[in-house]
Amino acid sequence: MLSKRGAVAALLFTAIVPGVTGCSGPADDGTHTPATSSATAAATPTGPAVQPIETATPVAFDRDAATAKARNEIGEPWRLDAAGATACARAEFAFRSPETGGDLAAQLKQLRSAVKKTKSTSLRDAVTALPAGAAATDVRSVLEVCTAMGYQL
Amino acid sequence: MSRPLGRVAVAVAALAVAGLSAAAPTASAAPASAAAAAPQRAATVGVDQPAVDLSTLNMVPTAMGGVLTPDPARTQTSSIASSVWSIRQAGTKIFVGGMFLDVKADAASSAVRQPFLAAFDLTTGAWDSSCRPALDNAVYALAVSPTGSLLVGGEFTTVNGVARPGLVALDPATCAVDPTFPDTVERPYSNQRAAVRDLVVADGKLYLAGNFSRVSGPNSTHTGVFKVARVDATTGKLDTTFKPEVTGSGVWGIAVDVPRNRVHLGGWFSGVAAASGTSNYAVVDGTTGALVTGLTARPRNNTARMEVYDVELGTADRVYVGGSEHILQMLDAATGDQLAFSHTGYNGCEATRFTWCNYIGAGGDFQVAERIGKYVFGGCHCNDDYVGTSPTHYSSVTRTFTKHKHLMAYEAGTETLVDSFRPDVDGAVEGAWAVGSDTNGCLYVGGDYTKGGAAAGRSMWVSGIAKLCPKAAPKPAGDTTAPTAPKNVEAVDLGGGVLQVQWTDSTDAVGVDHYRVAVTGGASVDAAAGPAKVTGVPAGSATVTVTALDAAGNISAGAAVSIATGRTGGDTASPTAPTGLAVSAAAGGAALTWTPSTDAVGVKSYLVYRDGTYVGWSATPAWTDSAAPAGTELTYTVRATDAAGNRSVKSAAATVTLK
Repeated sequence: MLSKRGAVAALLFTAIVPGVTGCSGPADDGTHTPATSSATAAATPTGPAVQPIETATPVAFDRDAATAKARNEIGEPWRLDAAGATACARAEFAFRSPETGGDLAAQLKQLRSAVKKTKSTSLRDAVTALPAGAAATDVRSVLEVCTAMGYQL
Repeated sequence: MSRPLGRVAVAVAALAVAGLSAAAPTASAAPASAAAAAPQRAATVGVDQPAVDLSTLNMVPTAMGGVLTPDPARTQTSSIASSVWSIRQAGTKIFVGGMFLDVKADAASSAVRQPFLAAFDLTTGAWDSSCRPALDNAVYALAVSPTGSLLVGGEFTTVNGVARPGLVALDPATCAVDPTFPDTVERPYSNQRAAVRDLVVADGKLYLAGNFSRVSGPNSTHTGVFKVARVDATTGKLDTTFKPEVTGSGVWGIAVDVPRNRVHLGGWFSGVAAASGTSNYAVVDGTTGALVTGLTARPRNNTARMEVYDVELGTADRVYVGGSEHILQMLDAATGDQLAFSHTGYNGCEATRFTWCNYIGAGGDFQVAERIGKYVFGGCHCNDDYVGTSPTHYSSVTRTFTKHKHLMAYEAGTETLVDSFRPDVDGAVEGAWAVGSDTNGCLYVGGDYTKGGAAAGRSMWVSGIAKLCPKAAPKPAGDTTAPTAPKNVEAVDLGGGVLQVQWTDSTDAVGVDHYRVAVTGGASVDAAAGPAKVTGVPAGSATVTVTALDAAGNISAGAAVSIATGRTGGDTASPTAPTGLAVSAAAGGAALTWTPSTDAVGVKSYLVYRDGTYVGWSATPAWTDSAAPAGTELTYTVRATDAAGNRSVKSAAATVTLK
């Protein structure tokens, strides 16, 4: 069993996953545009393969600088306000509901409600663009905005 | 880094069902009072680290091997270059995990490549070259399973050539992968590696926290989770009823409050169950993982930097929460009320508690909290115990500032600082990131330490990890081997019948307990380390003999030196004042240079003053004030000292304004 798992891992670890595109154009809320270059798949040697949404890069920063701003654990600036973070959490719950057993419809409703309070127009726009009766996979576009603003999956 | 609370525990319902869960948990509104009143019954709790007795602990490190060459750029935490991130005894070895690439036996030895996880002999502290696990990235957490396996969490993806992302169990005797524990973690929605940051064993369950979104368990199950999971600590079977919904970024600390059936989480995350006010620290139900509401919000002292690095249960219903900004908070485990706090690097804020005020250019975030016996140890990257004349550590319990740095000890049930606990280790930038103990009563502190013994007048090699043992540590029976003789004995007549003696240390199969310095004529002293002073030496001449003793009473051969004694006069002449003082703005702060002083015997050092307050010293005529504040004119002066303690008058002043 171990050798089989190891063999599968070796195959998957050498696979190159096509890059994904996050929000584009000048963001009205200071969000950055994530790199669209290829990203090497990591840490999915055994489970069902999916295309990564988050394409973050660790950033070295001075934790003791007096002007230090909020960041995520890999040092990327955290650009979501509290309402935006809540909306992104609802988006993640909705997107992953097929594998976690979550209630997609309920999470989408909560997502549409939560996003009204954020100052991030790009996040609001992404949620507004979701079709009525959106499928879980449709929420990927919202999570792309979220991860571009420091949210980690 | 953290562990369960208490000896009496509520059994946690563990309806473990493999595969996907039926439904995500919903937020719980369990009131604090109801949870606190939950019935209790005896149960087995997790594997505690062995207790230590701080009243007998030697603050001077005991020699052991070390780890070095941290490689943070390989990890997702490139800003933190700590070699050591976790320490744990398993079997007869001390395991050290972290970002390091190499190990060394001692200062004179060559580095040997052994990345991320290494084992050291419990008694001798020597690196165990027979145990060489091969991991491809950092280790952040270590724990011991109920069956004695070493549980390892981190950012690695392979172990001993086998795919084991984030989590693996090893046989501590051989360091081979334990095939009976199959769990790993995955992070398929991110291009970053899955990482396990903390491991806690409680009631036969293993709690894992970090940044991952699936757990791969027995029978090829792949179950969606949100950065936290609970599995059977022996079989690895996932408990799918326990599903905390943590989002945004990683969980770095987890503590299991067994009596209340709660789990405390700390980290960089933005929330739990999408609820407001749950970023960085939250409490979830021990059965379902649903958010526990109704607790007092954790006070914060900064609106931007709020991350939590570690969470730990103390005793007497205390929860210790360490993180930004420079604060270790002690909360009531039942209500969340703040009971006390310590901070580093502030001054004058004690009245207002959490206000960003009077930052004095020192201190650092609390990045590890570990309960060992009756103490909770809090470690930070607070590398100075004073700035100018201001001590940097503040305790709200005593309302006093004290000179402590890197690692502090608190009475776990009262938050009272153990003032005498001041490990004699130094050279760190990242400070303390790990604390461990062993069954010999020794305490380990890990980080990026490089030296020790300075407070005792010694210069000791330390690399990443330091070991502090009881002054009279228990020794194995049958130790009949004497230490080697000390070498290079030197004695200086300080005058007034006082000799100062120093030497090169001995070695011993078990460990040198102390040295005996004897002078002809009867004077004799025992010292843990050199240099030692012997008083009452008669004038004329004397022979000084130094021997080493171990705890079993074995005495080494003596090393001796003869010296003329009876010096009556002393050096009473002061050095000349430094001249030509110049100061300029440099990348590292305010850079000072001056023309050297002269002295009848010899200049020993120069003392540097900023705006009249002593800020540092240098043995050479140059120094950089790395803590100099910007935006205001700073006035510097320098004075010289000699070995007899004579001081010159201060130099002419020089000024600079940093931008």
